[in-house]
Amino acid sequence: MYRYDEFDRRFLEERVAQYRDQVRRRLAGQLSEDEFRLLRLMNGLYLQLHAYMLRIAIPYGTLSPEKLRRLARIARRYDRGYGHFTTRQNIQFNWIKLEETPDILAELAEIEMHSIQTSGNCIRNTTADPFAGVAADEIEDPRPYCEIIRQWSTLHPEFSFLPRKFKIAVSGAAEDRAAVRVHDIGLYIRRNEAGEVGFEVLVGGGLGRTPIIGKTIRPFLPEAQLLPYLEAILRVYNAFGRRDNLYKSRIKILVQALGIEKMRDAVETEFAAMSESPLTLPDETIAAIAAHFAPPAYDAPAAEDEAVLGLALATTPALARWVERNTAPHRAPGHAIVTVSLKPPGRPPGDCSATQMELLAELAETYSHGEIRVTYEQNLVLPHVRRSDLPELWRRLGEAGLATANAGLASDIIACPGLDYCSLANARSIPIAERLSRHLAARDHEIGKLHIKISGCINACGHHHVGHIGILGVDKNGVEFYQITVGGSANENAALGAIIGPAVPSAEVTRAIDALIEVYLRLRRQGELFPETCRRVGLAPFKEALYAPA
Amino acid sequence: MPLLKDGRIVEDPWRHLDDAESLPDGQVATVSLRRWTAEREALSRRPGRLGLRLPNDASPLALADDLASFDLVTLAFPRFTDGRAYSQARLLRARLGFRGELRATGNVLRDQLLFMRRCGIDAFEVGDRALAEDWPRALRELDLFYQPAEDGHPWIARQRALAG
Amino acid sequence: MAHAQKTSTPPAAASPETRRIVTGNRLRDGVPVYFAGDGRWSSVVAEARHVAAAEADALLAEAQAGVPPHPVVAPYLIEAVLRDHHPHPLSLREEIRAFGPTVQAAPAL
Repeated sequence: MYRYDEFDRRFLEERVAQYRDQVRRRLAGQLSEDEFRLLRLMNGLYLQLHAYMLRIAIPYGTLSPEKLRRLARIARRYDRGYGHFTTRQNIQFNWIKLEETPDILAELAEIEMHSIQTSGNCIRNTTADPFAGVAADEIEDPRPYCEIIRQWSTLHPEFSFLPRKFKIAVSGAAEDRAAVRVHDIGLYIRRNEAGEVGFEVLVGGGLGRTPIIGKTIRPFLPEAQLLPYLEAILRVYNAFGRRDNLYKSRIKILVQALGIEKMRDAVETEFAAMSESPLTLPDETIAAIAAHFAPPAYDAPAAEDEAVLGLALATTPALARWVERNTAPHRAPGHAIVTVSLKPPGRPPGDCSATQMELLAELAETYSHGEIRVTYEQNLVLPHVRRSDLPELWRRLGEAGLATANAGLASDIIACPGLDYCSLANARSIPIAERLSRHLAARDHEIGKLHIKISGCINACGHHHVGHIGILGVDKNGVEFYQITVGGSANENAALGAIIGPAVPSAEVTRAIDALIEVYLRLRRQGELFPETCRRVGLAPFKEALYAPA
Repeated sequence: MPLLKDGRIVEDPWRHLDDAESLPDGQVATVSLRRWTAEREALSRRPGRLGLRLPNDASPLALADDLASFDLVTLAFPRFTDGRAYSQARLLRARLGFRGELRATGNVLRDQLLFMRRCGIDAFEVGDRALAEDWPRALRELDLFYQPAEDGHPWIARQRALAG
Repeated sequence: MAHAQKTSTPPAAASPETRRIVTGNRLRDGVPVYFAGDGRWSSVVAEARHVAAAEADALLAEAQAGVPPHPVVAPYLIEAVLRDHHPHPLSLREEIRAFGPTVQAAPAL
C-alpha cells in the first residue's frame, strides 16, 4: 500500500496544526458557527443528533494492521469502543467531542491517516474495487490511479468550494464492485487495441433525490491525461453547476440539463486548451506510485493443500458454507479473497468494535500479508489469504463474531445510520436492518444472492436506489413509513429500482419483504438474480403480492 | 475598503465607479463589465490605469483580447461557499497570462486566503480590519500543496523532483 | 444509552396545549442540551424550562443571548408534552436526541 514520504507527512502535520488553531478560534468565539462549519466539514466533522461525528478517510478502502489498531485506540479513547464502516469505504465515529478532535487528528496523522474532505462541497474519498490487485477478473489495478487522484484532489485550491459534493470511483475489473455508474465521475480502466491503458470516463451518475446512471463522456482517455481531463470536468462543473438550489447542485443535474453532447463539448474544449498541463502523468510517475501496490511475495501452494482443505470442508459444513459464500477467486494460485462480514443477523450493519479491530489487525498480519480493506457494502476484505489457512482463519473469526457466512446474501444488508444517529434522517434504518437480517438469516442459502439496501432519508447514503430491494424511510406526519423499490443494481449493469407502491408502516416491512422474496422464488429461473427476474416478469407480480387485498 | 496586499494591510487607491459616474483622465478606477462592453473603444484609449470588476458568472476567456487594458481585475465571492471565482482566477493567470493585480472582493474568509492565492489572487478586500490583522499570518500557515498553482510556490511533485 | 425498543406512536397533534422548550448541541462536545433558564443548560430534558406557545419566541431569545462563544450551537424550539410535570419531547427525532439511539451499539465484544 502507499507509504507517505516526508512531503506527505509534513503536509498532514501542517494541516493538523491549522485545524487545531481553527478549533481554538471557534471555542474562543473568534469564528462563527457558519464559518467554522465550512472548516470542520473539510475535516469530516459533522454535528449529529447525539454528538459530533468524525468521518475518517480510508483512501480507496485500504487499511493496514497499524492503522486498524490506531482506529481501535481512537474508538476506546475518544468514542464508545466501536466504529462504523460506510458505503464510501470510510469509517465513522459517532460520539466525538469537538475539543478532542485536534488530538484525534494528530493521532491519525502519526499513522498516515486523516479526515480531510470526507465532507463538504469538495472532492471526497475516491473509492475503488475492494478486490483491487487480487481479483481473478482484473484488467489493471485501480489503486495507483486512486492514489494519484487522492493527492491531486486534496485541498485543491480551485475545487474546494464546488456547488456540491463530488465523488469519484474507479474499477479495473470485468465485474464492477465499486458502483462506478452512480458516481459524479466514474472510471473504468480499459485497454485500447494497442494494449495501452486508459479509462472509459463516465460523468453525472448519482443517487439521492434525483438518482441517475452516469453517461460515458469519453470512451477512452489515455492514462497520462487522467488529471488534466478530471480538471476539465471539474472546471466546467465549478463554473456552471447550479448554486441556487441545494437539491439541484450535483453535476448529474448539469449533465441532465445540458445533455451529454453539450457537456462533452464543454469539457473537451477546456481539455484541449490544457494540452501542456503540468498534470500530465509521465510513465515514471505512474510507475513510481504503482510500485507501492506491488503484490506481496505469495507462497506457492503445497501439493497437498487442496486435499487437506477439501477434507476440512467435507467434515465441517459450517466452514464449507462460509468458504462458498465469503471467498472469491484470487489471481495467485492457492489463494483466496476473504470477505469478513460485519452483518451478524440482528445487529447494526457495518459496526465493528475496538476488540474486533484489534483481532482483525492481527489476522491481517498472520493470514493476509498485513492488508485489510473496506468495501462499500460495509464489510471488510482480507485480500491475500492462503486457501490452506481458511479453516484456521474461519475459526479465529468465529470467536469474535466475524464469521457470518452471508456475503452478498439477504441478511448482508446495507443500511445508513438513520434517525438513530443522523440529523439528516427522516426515519430509522438500523432497527429495520436488524429485524430483517434476523428474520432472513435462516433462509439466506435458499434465497441466494440478494442485495437489500436501506436509507433513512432521500440522501440515500444506504444506496437504496441500487438495491435489488431498496427501502427508503420517510416521515408521514411524524410516523415512520418505508417506501420499497425493486430491481436496482449497482454493478456494471447498474439500474435504478422502481417504486412499487405506497410506503408501508414500520410494522409491515418484514411482511412486505417476505412477499417480494416469495414472488422472486416462485418466478425465478435457474441462476437468475433478483434484478433479472424483475426485468423479465415486470413489476406487476411484485405489486400484487404487496398491495393486493389479502 | 482596506486591502491585504504584499503581506500588509493597505488603503485601496482605486475608485470603483458606478456605470453613470464620469471617469476623469488619470483617475485610477474600475468599471463594471457592462460598462466596459458598452464603452470599450473609448475606455481602451483612455490614458491611466483601468480596472475591471468581473462578475463571477462571466467567462474570462471572452476577455482574452481585452486584458492588456487592465491593471486590476476584481473577482467576486458573493458568499464564501461560492467558488466560481477560483476558476476565473486560474484561467486569468495560467491560460490568459494576466499579470496585473487580481483582487478578491466580497465574502472572503481568513481560511480561504491560501486557496485564493494558489489560484493567482494577490490582493484581498478586508471586511473587518480588526480581524484582518491576523490575515498575513494565515498566508504563511502552510507551504506544502499537492497541485501546481499560480503563486510561484513549487508544488509537492516539483519538490519531490528537486529532492531527487 | 440504549433504551427499550421504541415503536412509532403517532404524536399528539401539535396544539397550543403542548409546551415549548429550547434545545441545541453543546459546542465543545456536541451533547444535546436543554435551556433550563437563568443562563443554564442541562443535558437532562426533564430539567428544561418549558413555556406556552405564546412565550416560545421570548424563551428562544433568552436562550440565544450572550457574548460569543455561546456554549450551545444554534439553539432552536421544540414541542414537548408534560409527563409528571416534566417536559418530554413530542417528536421521535427529539426523543432519540434526548434519550439516545433506539439500538444497542455494536457487538457485545
